Amino acid sequence: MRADRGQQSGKTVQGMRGQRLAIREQQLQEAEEQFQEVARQWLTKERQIQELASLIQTKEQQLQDKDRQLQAKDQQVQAKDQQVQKKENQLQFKEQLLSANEQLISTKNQLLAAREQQITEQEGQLQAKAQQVGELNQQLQEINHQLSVKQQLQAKAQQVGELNQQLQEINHQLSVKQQHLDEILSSRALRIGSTLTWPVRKLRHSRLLSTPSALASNEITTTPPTHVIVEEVVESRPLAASPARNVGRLVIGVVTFNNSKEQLARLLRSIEIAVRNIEEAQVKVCLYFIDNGGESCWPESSIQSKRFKKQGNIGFGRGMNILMAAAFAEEETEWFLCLNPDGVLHRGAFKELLSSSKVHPDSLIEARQFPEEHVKPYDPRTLETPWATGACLLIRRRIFESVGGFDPNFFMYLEDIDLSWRARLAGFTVRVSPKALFGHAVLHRKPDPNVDKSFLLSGRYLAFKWNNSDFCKWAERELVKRKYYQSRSELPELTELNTVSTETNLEPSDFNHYFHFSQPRW
Amino acid sequence: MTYDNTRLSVIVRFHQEARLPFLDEAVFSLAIQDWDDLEVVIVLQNGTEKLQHAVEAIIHQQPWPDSPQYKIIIVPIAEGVDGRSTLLNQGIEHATGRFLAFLDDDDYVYHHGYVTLIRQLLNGESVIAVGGCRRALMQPNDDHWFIQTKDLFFAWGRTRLDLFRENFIPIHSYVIDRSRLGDFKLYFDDDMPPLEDYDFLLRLCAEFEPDFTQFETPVCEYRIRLDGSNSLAYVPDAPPHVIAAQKRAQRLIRERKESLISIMPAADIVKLKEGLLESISERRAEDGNQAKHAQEIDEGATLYKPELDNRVLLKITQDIYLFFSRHPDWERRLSNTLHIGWRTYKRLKKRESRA
Repeated sequence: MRADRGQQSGKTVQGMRGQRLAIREQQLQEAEEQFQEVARQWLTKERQIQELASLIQTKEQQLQDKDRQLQAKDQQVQAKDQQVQKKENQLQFKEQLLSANEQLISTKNQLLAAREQQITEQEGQLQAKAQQVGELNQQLQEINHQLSVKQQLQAKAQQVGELNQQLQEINHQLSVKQQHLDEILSSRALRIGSTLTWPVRKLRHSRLLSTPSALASNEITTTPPTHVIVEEVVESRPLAASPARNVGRLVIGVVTFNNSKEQLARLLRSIEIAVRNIEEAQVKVCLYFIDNGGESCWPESSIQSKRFKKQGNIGFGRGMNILMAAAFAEEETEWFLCLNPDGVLHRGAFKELLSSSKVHPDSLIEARQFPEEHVKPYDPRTLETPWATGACLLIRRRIFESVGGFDPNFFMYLEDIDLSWRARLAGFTVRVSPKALFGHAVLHRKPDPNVDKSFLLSGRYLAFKWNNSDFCKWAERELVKRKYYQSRSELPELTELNTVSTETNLEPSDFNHYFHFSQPRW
Repeated sequence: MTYDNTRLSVIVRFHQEARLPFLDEAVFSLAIQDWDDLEVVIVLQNGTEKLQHAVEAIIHQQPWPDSPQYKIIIVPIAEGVDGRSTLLNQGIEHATGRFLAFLDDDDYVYHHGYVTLIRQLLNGESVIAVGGCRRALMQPNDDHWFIQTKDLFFAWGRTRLDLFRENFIPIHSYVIDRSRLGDFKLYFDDDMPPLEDYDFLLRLCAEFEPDFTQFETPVCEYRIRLDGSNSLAYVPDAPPHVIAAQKRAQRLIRERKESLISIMPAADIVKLKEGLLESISERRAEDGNQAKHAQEIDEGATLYKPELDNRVLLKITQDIYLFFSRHPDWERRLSNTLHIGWRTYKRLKKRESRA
């Protein structure tokens, strides 16, 4: 029984322990559930915190962005402020301008009023003078009536006497010229054949023709020489050259070739302006021209001009020689200006050319081509240059009398180089007048086969004349190569009479720089 | 503004009385122009009435084809202020011609200069026609200026991109057709001297493609006096305030270029990119040093090497590329411009507004 009881009590204890364990397990389960619940809650809260943190971050970013935007806007506002300030400054400046303009207008108005007053005063004076003139006219008419027939007869008698005196003066001048020419011819300086003697013959010829009647009709009918004889030059200085005068007449020579009316009008206008700027009243200017093409049309002008009889297309040099010879046949001519019709003179051109000629009376004086000056060199101190272009070239009487005009064997181009070299050979110099401008379009010209051919033919002749066989042969080869001639045998003949003597100093000539005929500056 | 005329207005700015002989030659070059319908607007800086008369005398004693059309404007400029832009702006306001050109008082234009450029404008559609310019180096002498030599100094550039790198277009070497400007306002920035002419060209040429057809034809001369008396943009031994002004202008020009990048046409950028790639491949082919050139590009160092590169144009293209690459947003700007260029954008806008 006891054992049963013991067993029973043991069983009850075990049952109680089991109950307790079950209860603890329940409690543990509950605790675990609670823990899990808490953990869930913690996780959710952590998530919430994370979400909040991310929200805070995004908001911070948004705030930063907004700050940046605000900064950018501030900068824009500052920039706009600056613009506004700038515009204000501009407005202020414009106001200043306006006030200055107003002041100008008021001063101009005052000037106008003063001028109006002067004009009214002058009008009054003119009216008074007109009345006086009217009275004088009436008196004169009365006197004229009284001196009718007798005075007319006396006047005619006086005219006859004056004409006689003029004739005597002309005869005297002719005899002086004859003596002068004889001196020139007898001088040893004139040794370059007909290039030099031709102008002298021309002077003689023109002297015979330059009677008042012939000059009045503006006709000089001379024939240029057909060939040139170049002889040895023994002396470099002219013996019979006229002394340089700083007074006299400047004759402008223009050879036209189908130049337009507008072109000639512009040239003439530039001549008029340049004449007005000559300071010396003792220098008179007149214009001689000859037409190598169609009859040129010149507008009316204050410049005295003379048209010479057309002789066909005789070339630049021959045309210019006719004008030059006629100009220097008249004793009062001291300078001759070769001038191209396709250019215009600067207002100070004559003033500067004449000034240079006075400082350097033994020089051919060349104007500076503008705006593209010639590439050939010149000494910036002495202004000496190897040769001068004939586009705007001032020739003094004494140089013409010694050297002559252009060699008529050149039809076109390079005759100016030949003249320059001959002048240098004769002891003269060639200079640039850098402030005398001649507006001449030489850039951007279209290539012209006729010009090219003329250049080569003239180059050939120049080289032949100045004994440079290499250049001469080169020019001949080029003439054939460029198909201007079929063969060299077709080329125009060159006569030995035209050459410069080999004993002569050939120093002025330079055939080493192609058609530059001197070392170019650029 | 509409222009129903063929008049060319030439604006000449004149600073000092001592430069009257130069002005005389400049005006003579205008008087002998082949283009007859010409208006000369001379803008005097602080000119007196006496000076005005002297300038009038110069104008009246020129061989104009007809009676001269001219205006003389006096602009007061405070002492110490560089009034170059102001003078030109006043000239533009007073000019009446459809065509516009500028001339400094010590330079000149050749006979055929304006007629060549205006014909080019009339034959094409551009706003600005650019001609060639020769540089003349002048040495002072007793009473005249001796021209030592002339060269084509400005011929190194050829395109709008070259202009973006450095100015090679002197102010008197172009003519502008004002009838084609639209809303674009012509002005010289008062802040920009001594680089006001460059700034003007940058703004104008960013908007309109310049016509370089006549660039081979010299139309004018830029005369450099060897005694240093020119008013040049860059003077090495200049006083401090002049150097400060130069530096300031250079900074402003850099800023201007940056502001203009985004409105450059896509075609130009494509050309730029192609030119760059080509040049790099050529250079790689030349010496095979790929790594070195890649490093050079990365570092943004100049690619130009005188011993290797005799192609000046190439150097210019590379320099512009490097200029772009130095900009902080260059990639974005470049890609934006490549995808939708400024002109394309404008075209799209037009279509949108029509729809």
